[in-house]
Amino acid sequence: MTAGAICRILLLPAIVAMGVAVAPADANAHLMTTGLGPFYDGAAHFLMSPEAILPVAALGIFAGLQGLSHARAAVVMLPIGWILFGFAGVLTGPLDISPIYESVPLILLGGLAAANLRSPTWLTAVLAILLGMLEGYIFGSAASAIRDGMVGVVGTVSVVFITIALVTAAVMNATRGWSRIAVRVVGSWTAATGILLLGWGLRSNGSL
Amino acid sequence: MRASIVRNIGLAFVALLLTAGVAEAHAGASGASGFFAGFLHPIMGPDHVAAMMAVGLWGAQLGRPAIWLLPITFPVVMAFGGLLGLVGAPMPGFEIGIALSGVLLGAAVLTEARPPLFAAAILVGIFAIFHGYAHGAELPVGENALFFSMGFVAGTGLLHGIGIVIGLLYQWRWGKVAVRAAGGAVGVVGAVFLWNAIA
Amino acid sequence: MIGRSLLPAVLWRLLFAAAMSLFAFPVTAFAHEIRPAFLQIDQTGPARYKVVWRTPVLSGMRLPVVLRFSEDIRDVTPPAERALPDSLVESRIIDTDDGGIAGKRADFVGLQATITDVLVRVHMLDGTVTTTMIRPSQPWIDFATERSPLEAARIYFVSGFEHILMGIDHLLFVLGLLFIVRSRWMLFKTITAFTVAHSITLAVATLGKVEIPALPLNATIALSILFFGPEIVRAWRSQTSFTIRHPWIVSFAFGLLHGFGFASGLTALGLPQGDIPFALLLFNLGVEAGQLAFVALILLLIAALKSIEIRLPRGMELLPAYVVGGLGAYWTIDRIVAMFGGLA
Repeated sequence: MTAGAICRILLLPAIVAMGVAVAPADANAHLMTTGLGPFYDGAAHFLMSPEAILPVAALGIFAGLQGLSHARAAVVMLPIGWILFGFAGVLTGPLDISPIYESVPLILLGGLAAANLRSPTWLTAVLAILLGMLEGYIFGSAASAIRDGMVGVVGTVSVVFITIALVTAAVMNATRGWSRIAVRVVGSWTAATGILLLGWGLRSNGSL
Repeated sequence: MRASIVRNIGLAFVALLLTAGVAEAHAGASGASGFFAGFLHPIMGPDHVAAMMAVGLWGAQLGRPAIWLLPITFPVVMAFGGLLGLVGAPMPGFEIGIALSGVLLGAAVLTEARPPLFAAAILVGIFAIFHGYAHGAELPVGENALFFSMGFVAGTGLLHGIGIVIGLLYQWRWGKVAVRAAGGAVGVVGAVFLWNAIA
Repeated sequence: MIGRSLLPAVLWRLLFAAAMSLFAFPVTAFAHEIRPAFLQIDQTGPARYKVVWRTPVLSGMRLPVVLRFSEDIRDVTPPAERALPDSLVESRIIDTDDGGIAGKRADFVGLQATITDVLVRVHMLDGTVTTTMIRPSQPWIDFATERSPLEAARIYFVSGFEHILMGIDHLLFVLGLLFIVRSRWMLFKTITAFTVAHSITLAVATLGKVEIPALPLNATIALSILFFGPEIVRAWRSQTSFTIRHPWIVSFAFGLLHGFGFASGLTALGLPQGDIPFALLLFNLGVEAGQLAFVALILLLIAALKSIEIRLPRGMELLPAYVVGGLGAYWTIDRIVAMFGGLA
């Protein structure tokens, strides 16, 4: 019942976010130059992007709380979606996406992690692959700016895989009551950050 | 024993990943200043501080499940209020609502009020929207939105945490008095702000 | 064995080929280590300096970077260019009007469009030597009057750390060790043996006691990785061998080789004649930190994947062994070919 209530609270801003008209915005790709080549540049890009780390961690929390089959689905599906759409992003080049859309995965996955909803495994798999496709495409199109963008995508996906595997396994093995609450609080903070980010985007977009 | 250590390390890793590491890593790109600006924002207003801590105190006083339900739902509801403030939705009299929240939450802690859980949740939820709205309406332009939001949420969560930790004293007899006294103090602060808001 | 029985041999080989081709492009990127450009400035008089500017040549392409000094530095002799097999060397003498290059600047025009770093080494008459690493993100150097020891220490530590992270061959060797080692105590012994061994040869080579030509050395390091392919297969099939029983002896022996490899990374940094032991120590500490971080990350990842019960699909269990062995074989051939002057 409480979970349902949270879900309803989350639904409204999520729908608003989906419905917002896309205003072309700067592709705010803060590509890192590590001086260690494209592989590490791609890895560093992810590690410097909390807007991507937060939803990936939220997915890991959600999947880890649900149990083994969900954890496996998330850890396998996320990198697959990411690498395929990452390559596609490198090929299609720079992308203009409204930062408003960056808030959608934060709200959705953070909310699910906080609510700890019982759900079928296929939902986790679908969410993982969708997140991988979205973020992979964003990162891939940003990586098209550097030489050997494909290698950059491989670097990003390596770190994404390590991150999702470590977070999911850590959450899955956290069986104490308080630690499960703590990770749900992290999910809730992620969703709250996403909601604020959405409000910010709407304000600077001037569409409301 | 060993497994629990591994687990704790894993959790610490998750926490580190999500807060400090992310903020520090960006220090060069004006991200950190955005994070700390956001972190300080909820802490600088005494009316907010009092109400947030009262929420934590009350949650601890009510016990399970309120003690963990609050820190999970409150940030989301408050962020929703922040969204309303950011997009400029009209909300008349929210200053009075904020001041009132301090008085009522403080009084609830002082008198050890035990309403049904859903009533408490609705009350706190309405206040959360008022507080979020006030912050949202006055958020500075030109900050890094993502980092500011993260810092803002973390700052609010910290205030809850302090309230909950103080509230844990409630299990001892002398602690009961201390917690109720803290609630009374919050109520007084709220009353001062209520007086200012109306007058 | 399991793979063969469940999957027709042809199909299995096809799968393997597909998996290997996925690795093909990172390999080509890594096989050529990105060599830094090098600027050496030696003071010869109160206001006079000898400048050597060496840029790497990658597959026949010269680095599109031009060295330009600030206005008040003039050339005494015009730049003279000389071509080496793998680099271009430009030498000249420069002169300043007002006592020295301190506080002046050199620009590396075009560097920001590359992924090459520049090592700048300034040797003053009073014996002080400063080494600075210039990144494409900040393509210039401001010649400082002096640099704090702390700053120098940081540079050597960080470059040691980066050197092992860039050295995919060293990492692959450590990965091979991790696949073979069976217990924690054995892991500790093996990693310690590797560390001790490469520290010894790193010191010996840096102090100039022993010199090993780079090309055969690189080929032998590649061979040490190839060596692990069959050993991992044996370990996976629960067979045994000398390496599997005593991995620490093997890691010590090959560690001696890898230390020479690290030494080439350190000498490329340009060593200060006055404080070689200091630079050596911090570079080595950086290498150890990078190596331990890598080992910790891999162990954490393996533990995580085990608890999520993610395994390689049936018929692919030996994939890690084939990846390690395959890459080792590729580099061995590549480097032996390079040793005999390339194919053309």
